[in-house]
Amino acid sequence: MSQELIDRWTVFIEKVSERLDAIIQEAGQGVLAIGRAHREDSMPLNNALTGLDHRVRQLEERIDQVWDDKVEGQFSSVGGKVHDLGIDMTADAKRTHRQRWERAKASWLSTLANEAKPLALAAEAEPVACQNCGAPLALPTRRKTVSHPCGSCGTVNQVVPPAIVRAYFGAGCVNLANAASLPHRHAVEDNRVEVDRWSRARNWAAETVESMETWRDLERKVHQTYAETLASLTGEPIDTGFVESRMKHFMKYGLDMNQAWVKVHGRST
Amino acid sequence: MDLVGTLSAHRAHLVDAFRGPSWAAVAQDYGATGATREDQLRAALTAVVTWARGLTADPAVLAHLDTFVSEAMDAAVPKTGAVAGLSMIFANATASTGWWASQMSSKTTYVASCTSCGAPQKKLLKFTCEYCGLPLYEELR
Repeated sequence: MSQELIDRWTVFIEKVSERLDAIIQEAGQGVLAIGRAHREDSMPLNNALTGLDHRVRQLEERIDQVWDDKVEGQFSSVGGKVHDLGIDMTADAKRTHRQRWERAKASWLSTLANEAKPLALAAEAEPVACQNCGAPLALPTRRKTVSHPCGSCGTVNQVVPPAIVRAYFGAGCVNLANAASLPHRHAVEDNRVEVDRWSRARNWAAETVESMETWRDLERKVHQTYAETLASLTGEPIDTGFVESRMKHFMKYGLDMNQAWVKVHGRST
Repeated sequence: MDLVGTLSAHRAHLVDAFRGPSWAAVAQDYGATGATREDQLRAALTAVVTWARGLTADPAVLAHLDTFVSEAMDAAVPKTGAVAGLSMIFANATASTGWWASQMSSKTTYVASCTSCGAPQKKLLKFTCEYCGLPLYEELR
């Protein structure tokens, strides 16, 4: 009885998974095409991703709906570990589907960013002439908007970066940094699930301080990887302030709320 | 058991087996092959329909056979509820690009010029005309 129940739920989850595969396959071609057609304007790409996110959320909602309305009662009536197994199967399906979708998006956005890089570097190297006398301007950077006096006639030129430079060194590099940190974000999520199940198997034992230290280190790895990758791509210094601000938030609303942690490590602030 | 009853028994047997661990053996019994369980089930149901068509000329039974596979597949394979096509999403995503493109300028260098005499700005953060002394951005009245 319980095996049949598990098999039927497995079949349903596999069907949703196949549906996600079909969306990823179809969406990939569309996202890359739209991104290549509008390299300097992120709006069409973001519009498309918003619509696709909604479509993928519908799959997750469908799992929840069927589980709540039709399936959980059956698992619950068997009870015990079978009920826990059903809950785990449902949560794992939703988490792995979302992670697959996030990896797919990161892959497409990384492809587009890497393709934009040579175009951005070429545009950055193009000379800029003074709008008053035509003499070439010796600009300190082409990656930011600058007000720069002409060395020849003294006229102040306000020079904005070319659109492709803004696109690559703005959203493109951020997308690449996000893609680099994504596996670490997923590792945090997987770790929390693992800890929760470890606790459940021990009659809801409290998480150990060593486990929380692992959580803290995994969390820091996410932000550190993002900041280091972004710095390596843009040539700017590593934004340690960003990392520490994220960790401060994590500690304040995460570990500092746990008495076992505070007893050993004290409060972070 | 009449033919319709036999068909119902085949359907119940196949759908139940499809949901359980004994599917591989049942699929083999029906000679059903396919890359996925779903394909195998469809092949098994189609084999049943082919067999039944050779046994009857009754229009009512033949009409039942026309929808036998699709109805059994619907019963066995739960729907996910999502719509397949994504073309509308991409169509909507680019719907306003023409308007935005018309509003954007490809120009990347600007010089602030006096609205009174046309002289250019000469000093950073100084927005008074070097030539005529009027504010660079103030409109003439």
